[in-house]
Amino acid sequence: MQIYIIKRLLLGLVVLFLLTFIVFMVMRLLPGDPLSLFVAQGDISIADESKLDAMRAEYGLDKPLLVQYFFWLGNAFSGDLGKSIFYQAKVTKLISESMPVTIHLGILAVALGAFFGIIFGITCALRRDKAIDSLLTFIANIGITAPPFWLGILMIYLFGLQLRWLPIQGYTSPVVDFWKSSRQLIMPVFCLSFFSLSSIARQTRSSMLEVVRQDYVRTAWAKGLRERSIVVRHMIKNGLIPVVTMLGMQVRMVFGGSVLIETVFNVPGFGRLMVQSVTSHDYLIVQAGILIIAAIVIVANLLVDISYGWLDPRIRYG
Amino acid sequence: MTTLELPKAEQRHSEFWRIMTVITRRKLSLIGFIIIILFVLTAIFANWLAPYDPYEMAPEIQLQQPSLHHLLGTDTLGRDTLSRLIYGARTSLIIGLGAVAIGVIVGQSLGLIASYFGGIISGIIMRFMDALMAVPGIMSALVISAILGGGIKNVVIALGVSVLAGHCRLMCSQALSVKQNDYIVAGRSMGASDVRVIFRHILPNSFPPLLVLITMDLGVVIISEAGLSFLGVGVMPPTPAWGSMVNDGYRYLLTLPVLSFAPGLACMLVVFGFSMAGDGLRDALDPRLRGTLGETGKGP
Repeated sequence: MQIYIIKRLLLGLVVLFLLTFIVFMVMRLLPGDPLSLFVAQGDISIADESKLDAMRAEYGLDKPLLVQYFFWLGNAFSGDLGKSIFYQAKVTKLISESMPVTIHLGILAVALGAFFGIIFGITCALRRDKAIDSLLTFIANIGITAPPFWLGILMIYLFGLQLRWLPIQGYTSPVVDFWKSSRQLIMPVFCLSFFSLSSIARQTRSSMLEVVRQDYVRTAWAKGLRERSIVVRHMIKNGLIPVVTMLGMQVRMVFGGSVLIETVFNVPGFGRLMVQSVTSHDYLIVQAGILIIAAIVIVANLLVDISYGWLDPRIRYG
Repeated sequence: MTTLELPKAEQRHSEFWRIMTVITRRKLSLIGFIIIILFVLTAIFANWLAPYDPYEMAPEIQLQQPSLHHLLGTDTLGRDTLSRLIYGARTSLIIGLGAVAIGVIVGQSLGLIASYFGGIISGIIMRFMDALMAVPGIMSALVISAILGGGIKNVVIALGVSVLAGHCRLMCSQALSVKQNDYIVAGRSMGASDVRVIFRHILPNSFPPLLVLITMDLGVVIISEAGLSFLGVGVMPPTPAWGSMVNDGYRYLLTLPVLSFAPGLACMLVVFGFSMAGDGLRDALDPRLRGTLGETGKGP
């Protein structure tokens, strides 16, 4: 087991390393000098060539690409991800300010999605083809197909502009003002979790229905066990193994969804930072951001794979 | 002399008709396929269906409420929303097909290569795919599309890259399991070349799950394209695209909500269609469920 984990971690590092290289090269080989954009921002005073050259030297843009890459990588390992040209601030500072916001939203969204998704899925499977199954399946089918940003706009229209129940944008730290923070979070968290909830519910339903047909469930019925114990001990425990995979994927989903949801609701989180840096060609932030997300996703996937062995003793790691 | 009567061969249903039966008996998949057909027809015949030119600006009739002349009203530049919606279907279809084609051609080829040669080649390809998979699809598409500068061609590339890894992995695992079969060994012993084994045996036998993935991915790509266009890094104006239409209408949410609602709804319907059709195909093609679906018409 330990050997397996170490092997996976090393593999994860290789993948991260590869990713840094891909991202770095993709961002640099394509046209668009970040400094020229900076100049275009309107700061005429640095428009002459000598000053531009000086700035290129300051940001290390005058060196060969490979040198730049290893320079950046070395700094990244020591915790220095560079300075944003656009924001004139340290990349680490920008990311560490926005990341907690996204993590706050993300944890709430995944927790809600997992909790209700699993409950809905089990309900559907146990009441198959009844009205409640049709209703919840229908909602789940909407959830996996509605564009999240559009869902956000519908909610803003209904709850924000028409009914005036909820604030339509912004983010407040729960430490500062818990009530305001919660009210602001309702809509973005719902939009972020709706897809997770729906996909988890669908997966739970189908894998539960798979389990229902298994021999050991029939045996359990034949033994005369109570329904509760069959459902909990035999069906849920085995039926949820594929759902754990889904849970691992939610980390990736939430980061992807945050790009859109944070833009719609104007939440100063990591997703919005990425969108803004991408559109302003601020590649240092983009590079660092992708690196961090990838690291989180890789660790999450590893945790999921490890938890299999715990959930299903038949699985052994070589 | 009596004529010899040959026993009539029992009529066999082809695989295609079996699949069609399963799909048409399930209401949701049938609806899905109907939506897809309508969507494709709308995209193809947009010129005839659209009541107005989607690019024609008419400042004097900007931001009109829905009326008999303009069924869904007009946008900020006085363009007919319904016409732009219809042409938006064309944009979505082109991008969906283009991006999935990249995913299929590049991703599945890499998957085949990885599975067939194994060893270090497989290792290198798969680590690259792991790297792609570690980043959320919309985020990699966002970065690529923004760097390339938006527009239909660049969005196709960006979204193609974002679905590529899934096709590569699935193809690889499918091919690996097909490779175990005796007929591959038999083919090889008869002197079949690598290329022949791959194209005559491995590819067709790996096909069913890949078809499901392609159907699902069309929906994923269309919804992602809407997301990119909504963020302003996708299809560039004035080309009609559902995502950017939602974004344009966002500012007039109180006075003219239909501007944002209609394109989002269209996008949702189409994605719903692909997703339900994919579900139906998956159940119809799943060998474990064979024989259990056709009779009852109900899914598993």
